[in-house]
Amino acid sequence: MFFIKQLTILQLIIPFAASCISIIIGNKLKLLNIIAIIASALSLSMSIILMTSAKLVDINYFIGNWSNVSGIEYKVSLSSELLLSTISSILLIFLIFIAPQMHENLKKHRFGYLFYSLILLYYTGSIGIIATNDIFNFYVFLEIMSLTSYVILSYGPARASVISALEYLIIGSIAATFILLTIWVLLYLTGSLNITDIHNLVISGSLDSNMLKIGIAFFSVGALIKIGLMPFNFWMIRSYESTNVANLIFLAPISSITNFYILIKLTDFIFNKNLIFDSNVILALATISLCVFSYFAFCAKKLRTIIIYSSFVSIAYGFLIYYYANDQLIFRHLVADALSKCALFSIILELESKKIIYLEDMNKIRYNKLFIALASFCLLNNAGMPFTIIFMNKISLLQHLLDNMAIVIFACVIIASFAAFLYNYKLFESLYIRNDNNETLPIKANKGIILTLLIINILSFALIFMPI
Amino acid sequence: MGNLDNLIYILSIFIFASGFAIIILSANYLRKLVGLTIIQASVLLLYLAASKVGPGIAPIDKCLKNINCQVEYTSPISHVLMLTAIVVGFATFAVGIALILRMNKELDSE
Repeated sequence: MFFIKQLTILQLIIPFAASCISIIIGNKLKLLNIIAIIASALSLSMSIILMTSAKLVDINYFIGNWSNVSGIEYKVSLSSELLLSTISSILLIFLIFIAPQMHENLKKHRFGYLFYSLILLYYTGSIGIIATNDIFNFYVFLEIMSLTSYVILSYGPARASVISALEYLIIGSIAATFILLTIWVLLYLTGSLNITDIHNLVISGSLDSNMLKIGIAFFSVGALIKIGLMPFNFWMIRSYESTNVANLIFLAPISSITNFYILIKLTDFIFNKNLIFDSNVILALATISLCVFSYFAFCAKKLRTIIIYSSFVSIAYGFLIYYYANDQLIFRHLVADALSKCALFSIILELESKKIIYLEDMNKIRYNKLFIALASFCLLNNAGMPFTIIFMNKISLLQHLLDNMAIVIFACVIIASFAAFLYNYKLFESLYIRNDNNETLPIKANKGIILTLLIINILSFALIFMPI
Repeated sequence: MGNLDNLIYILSIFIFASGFAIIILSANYLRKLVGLTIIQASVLLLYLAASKVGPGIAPIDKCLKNINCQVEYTSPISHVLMLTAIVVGFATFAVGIALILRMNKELDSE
C-alpha cells in the first residue's frame, strides 16, 4: 500500500520532470518525442494500477506526511483514475502517431522544440486538477494547464490563431479569477483549503448560507466559461477554428474532461448539485445550446466547424447527464466524448493535410476502404447510432429525463439526436458515397491516422462493457 | 466603525469593476492585459483583507517557547496563497505580452 500511495504523486511528478528535462535537452525532436512517450506511458501505467487499487476505497496521499490541516493532500478514486487513464491514453496515441508528423513544421521555428515541454506541462496540469484534494493547489494546476493551452492554441497556420489565443487568455484568466474568488469565500467561511474538510463543514449546515450562495455564483460563472457552455464559448469557437488541427487532437478531449471535472469536483465534493442547478438557468442554457449548435453543425459547410459545433452539443449533453443521471454515467460520457473528439479531429487532420477544408472538396478525392471504414465507425459513434457507446449514454439520459418528467428537455434531446444523425450522415455521404467514382483522385490515408482511429474505435467499443 | 471595516471590501470591488471596465471598453490588447492585472490585484486585496484579525499582529512568532502567550496573529495563509497568485498573474501577463509581440510582428498591430 505504501508503494501504491506514492504512485498518486508520482503520476504527476514524472511528466513534470520530463517537461523540465525537455527544455534542457534542446532541439532534438526525436529524443524529446521518446521522452514524452515514456513519461505518458509511465503515467498511464500508474493510472491503471491506481484504478485497480482504488476500486473499493479512495487512496489518499499527504505530501511530506503533513496532516490535512496544514498540508496538501492528493486523493484518487476509481472514477478519477478512469479519467486520468483516458487522458494518458489520448496523449500517448497523439505522441506516438501524430506528433512525429509535426516535426517538420516545428523545425521551422527557433523555439519549436519547446512544444513538447508545453504538452507535458499541459498534461501535468490536467493530472493535478483531477488528483489534488487541496483547493488552492487545484487553482495552481488549473492555471498551469490554462497558460500552456494559450500558447499551444496560438500555434497555427492562420494569423488569427494569435488573436484568438490572446482573447482566450483574457477570458480564461477572468474565469480563473472567479474561481479564485470562490476559493476566497470558502477560505473565509471555513478557514481550510482541504476539500474534504470544506465538504464536511458545508454539509454540517453551520456556515453562512448567503456567503455560500455568493461563492456558488462566482464558481458557476468561472466554471461555465472554462467548460464552454453557451454563451460563454465564443473563445472556443475562434481559437479552435484558427489553431493547427493537430493540437486539437489531444487538447480538445483533455480540456473537455478536465474542465468538466472542475464542475464535478467542486459540486460533488463541496457544494450541493441542487444548489448549483437550483435556478434552472444552467439547464436552460444547456438545452438551448443542444438545439442551437445541432442546427449550426447541420448548416456548417466547413468540416472543422461541423466537429467544433458537435463538441458544443456534447458539452450540453454532459450538463444534462450530470444533473439528471447517476454519477457513473457522466464519467462514461466524458470518456466516450473525449475518445470521439480525438478520432474526429484526427479525421479532420487527415482531410486538411490533403487540402480538403469544405464538404464540396471531398468530391475531388477517393480514400482507401480502410480509412473510410474507420472514419465511418467514428461518425456512427458521434451520431449516436445503435450499438455505440454514445447511443447507450443517450438512452440512459432519456430514461432519466422521463423518470424526472423533463418532457421539454426530452423533446430537445430527440431533436438534437436527429440533427446529429443528419450532420454526421452529411460527412459520411461525402466520404463514402460521393467518392465512389472513377473521376476522383485515389489517396492513401496517413498510417499514423489510421492506427489512431483503429485504437480509438477499439477503446470506444470496449467502453460499452464498462459497468455503470 | 462597521462601515470603515467594510471600506476595504468596497474598494476592492471598485478596483475589480475598474479592471473589468478597462477590459470591456478598451480595443487595445495591451490595455486589456493591464485591466486583467488590475482585476487580479483586487482579488489579492480581498484575500489580505479577509485574513486580518482585529488586533492581530504580523505573523512572526513573538512567543517562542512561552506556552501561555496571549498574542493574536493575522492569518499568514492568505499572504502565502497570494504570493503564489502574484506569480501566476505575472506569468499570465508575460504570456500575454509574448502573444501581443507576436501579433505585432505578424499583423503590425496591437
